[in-house]
Parts: sequence; C-alpha cells; structure tokens
Amino acid sequence: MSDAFYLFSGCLIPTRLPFLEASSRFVLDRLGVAYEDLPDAACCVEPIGLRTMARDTWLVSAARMLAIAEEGDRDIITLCNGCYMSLREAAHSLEDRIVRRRVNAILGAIGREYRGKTAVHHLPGLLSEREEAVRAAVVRPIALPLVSHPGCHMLRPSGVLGLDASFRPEVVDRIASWAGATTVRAEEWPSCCGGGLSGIHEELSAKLLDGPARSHLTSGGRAILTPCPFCFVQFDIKQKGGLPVLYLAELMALAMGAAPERIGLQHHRNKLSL
Amino acid sequence: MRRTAADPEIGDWLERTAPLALQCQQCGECAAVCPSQRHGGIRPAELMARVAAGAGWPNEDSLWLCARCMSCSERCPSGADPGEVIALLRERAAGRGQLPAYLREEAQRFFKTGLSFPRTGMTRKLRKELGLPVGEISEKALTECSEIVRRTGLGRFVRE
Repeated sequence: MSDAFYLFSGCLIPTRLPFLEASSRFVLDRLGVAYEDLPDAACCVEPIGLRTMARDTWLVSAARMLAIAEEGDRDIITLCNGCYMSLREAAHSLEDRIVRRRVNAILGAIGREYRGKTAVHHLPGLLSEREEAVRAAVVRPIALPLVSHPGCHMLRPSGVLGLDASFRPEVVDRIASWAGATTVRAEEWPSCCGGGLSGIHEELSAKLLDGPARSHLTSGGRAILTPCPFCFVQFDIKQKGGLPVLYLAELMALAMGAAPERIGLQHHRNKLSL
Repeated sequence: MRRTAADPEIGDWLERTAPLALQCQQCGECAAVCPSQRHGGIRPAELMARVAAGAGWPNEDSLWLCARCMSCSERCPSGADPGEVIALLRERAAGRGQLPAYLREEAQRFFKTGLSFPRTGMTRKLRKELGLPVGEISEKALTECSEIVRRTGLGRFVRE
C-alpha cells in the first residue's frame, strides 16, 4: 500500500457543510499528508436509514468504494463518523468469504472486485497516530475549554471500529490538547445527539438532543468539540440556546494557523468567539 | 412477557435472518441504555423478548424510532445485538411498505444522484467561495450505483 491516501468526504459534508471539508483539507495539507479525492466516490451508503432498508445495497455500495481504493493501492481517510462506521463495518462483514463471494458477484457486473486490501482511517484516528507532526504544526494554540462529544459512530461498535472506547473515550480530548485546548467531559458514555432521527421523527430527535445539549452547557466548556458532521448539524442548527460547536478539524486548522474566514467559520449558525 | 407458541413465520425469520436474537437473555441492559426509550421511543428489551419468543412482530412504526446509536448492542452481554436485530426488522417492515416517507425520498435520491443529501445552489456557492473542488458525482459512479441499487434490496423502493 502506498503512503498516499484517498480522501472520502461523504455526502453531508461536501453538500451541506463544505467548510468542514475546507478545514480538513487544510489540516491534511499542513501535516504533509499526500491525498487525492477518492475517484468515482458516492454515498457510503448512509448507515442509519438506507442501510437498514437494504443491507445488501449498503454492503455492495461500500465494497465498491473499497474496491476503487484498492485499484489505486491506497487507504481511505473519512471525515464523517457515519462514513467511517459504514466502510469499517462493511470491510468487517466482507471478511466472511461467503459474503465476499456474494458481493463480488454483483460487483463483477459493474467491472469491480473487492479483495480486502484497503484500510479505512477516520481523520481523528489518523491525527492520533501522528502526535509529533500534529504538535509541530500547531502555531497558534487555542486555549479554550471545550467539551468533547465524539459521537456514537466514532466509538460504536467498538469491537469492529477499535478506535476508542465507548466508556470514557479519550482520542478527541487527546488531540485537542495538542492544539492547546483543555477539554472537559460531561458524560462518561457519550450520548446520542438524536441526529439519526432527524427527518424521521423531529420531536423525538429534539428530545434526544436535549440531553447532551444541557449537560454540555453546564460542563464548563465554552464550545462543543465533535468529529462528526451529523452531531455538528444537531448542535449548530437544531439546538436552541446551547453552546456553539467546533468540528475537530476546525479546531486543529485554527491552531495550525488557518484564518477563520479561510475555513468558513463564519458559516456557523451559532457563532463562536475565539 | 407471556411465552406463547412461536409464530411459525417469526420462527422461520429468526432462523434464516436473525438467529442472533435467540441469544437474548432478557436482562434489560439494552432498555437501560437506550436514549430513545428514555424519551418514549423504541423499547428494545420488550421488542427483543417478544420477537425471540416468537410471540409476535413488533409495532412497525416504533422500529423507526431507533436512532442507531448502537449503545444497546455495545452493552448487550449476550451477543444478541439488539441494534442489528432492529435493523433487520426495519428491513422486513420496509419491504412491506412500512417506512418513513423521508427514507423513501432518500433512497430515490441515492438512486438518482449517488448521494443521501441534495447538492443545492448553496453547495456550489460555498464550495466555490472556499476554493474547494466542484465535487460532482461522476457519471461512472452514478451508473455503477444505480446498477447496484437495481440488483439489490433498495431497488424495491425506487422508480426509474
């Protein structure tokens, strides 16, 4: 596998939150990570709704993306918790030879084959493995107290993802500390932001959001820190009267010297004063 | 939970599709950790007990009240994976036409555009302002995704 990566930005970030993509690219560039966009990429398939309507569509679509990365001999970097879980769970399911054969029978019809050679890295995981480079790239420490909210699908299912623990996760906090931030944790078991019910049942989604929103508000943090665009939308747009939110790559980009307007911080609804 | 003679249709479904549900020991851990149940949504322990006993299919509307946070599966000490059982029950319900309109639209969008969220005028404007690549889904990606949809389960929910 080559040292270069394919960047897979997903759906939600490139269509609705392109500023999160801008901050991610800024961070990768500052770290000297070689990457290009995953060719012929499409949706991961979205793992909350679509995956549960048709497991096979999700599995074959995700396998197609993994197969494309294999053809280019590169690993994938994801920017979204949903994409990360989707691709990692698919790769896990495809370890079963019978499942793989069935999936490859369909992929064969579009001229693709999955062989199981590509690894999928979530941006926080990639950063956590490069402490020295990340610390060296920080030119403007952001000494803000933040409350970390890793989001469900960076953590669970932990047996498959293996990136951090469900109980007392620490990866996001550790990376934030390299940017000069202090973090507080409002919850031992990070609770669901309700994003998975958005569009399906708004009232219940809002009730779920209210739990973490309230505990974050009294945590002592001045902003919520999350690596997930679904959590970001819940806290930035749906939440009323709560703390502003920063996407993990935004914090790191700011600490690495990005001008706030260069990474689109002005597009947050709930403005953050730095 | 009253244990009745297993409904043969459920028994068949459990055996073929969700044998892991039979590992449920009805300990209630999933109910304790479920944020949806806390706010009057899905009740995973009741659902697992009912299905595993073959007592009856769960209410199809309630299946869509799971936010898929995966806490239940993470905490399940029996390997019954309630989150995945709920997902499989959703797939069955969807096949019977019981699914939220929002997801039917999302399926159509994935089939037609290769994306779960729409690209809008705002998308193009913001991407340009931020100096990002245009980022359109390629014709090749679209052709391949549509073909996958036609050949798999999501094909049931889309119109050409």
